[in-house]
Amino acid sequence: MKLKQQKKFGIFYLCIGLVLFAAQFVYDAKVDHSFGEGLLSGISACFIVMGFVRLLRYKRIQKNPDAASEYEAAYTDERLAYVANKARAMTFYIFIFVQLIGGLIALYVFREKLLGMVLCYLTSLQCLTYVVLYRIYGKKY
Amino acid sequence: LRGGIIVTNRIEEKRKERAMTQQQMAAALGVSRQTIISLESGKYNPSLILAHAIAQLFETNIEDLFIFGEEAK
Repeated sequence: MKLKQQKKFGIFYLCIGLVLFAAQFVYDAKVDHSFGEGLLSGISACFIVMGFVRLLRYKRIQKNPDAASEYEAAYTDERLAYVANKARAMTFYIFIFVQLIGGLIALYVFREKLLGMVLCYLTSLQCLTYVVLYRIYGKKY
Repeated sequence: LRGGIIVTNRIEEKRKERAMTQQQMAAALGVSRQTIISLESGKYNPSLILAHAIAQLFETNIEDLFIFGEEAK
């Protein structure tokens, strides 16, 4: 992402966060026991933090030309892409087991049929998607 | 490709011969300084394209820059 886009997205996220925060106030005022028990303000806090982080990063990079060239290089850096892909793959691998174990515990320990089924089906769907994509990429490359 | 192949490189040696800093080398190649550190320490093996770019930067060839050896059994 270019540096100017970083600023645009920062402002965009901040605006979304503020709008959602305002929306929570409207719900609080008009609806008894706010919508989703503070769901909107929770999401808005995430957006506000994301916006602030991007704007702070933009300010920091803008003042330092060395940091700016490092930042630009980071988007073409193959090692960073490699690290990101490895992290993604490991996250997927870990959460396959976490979901499956969570699903089985929900089914057989807590007798939460719906939650257990959803987690188990989700795990199956992810594994199936992996196999399909593996075959597609195997043919492509 | 069978496993057990160790790749070492002479990037640090070549960079020092040219009195280049890691930062300058990173800027010339369009990568981060951390990538140069990882390459020099042998933690990361570059793609063919990056290896070619490094070889061009040092006016040498890939075989001279990267040494392929078999792992001791």
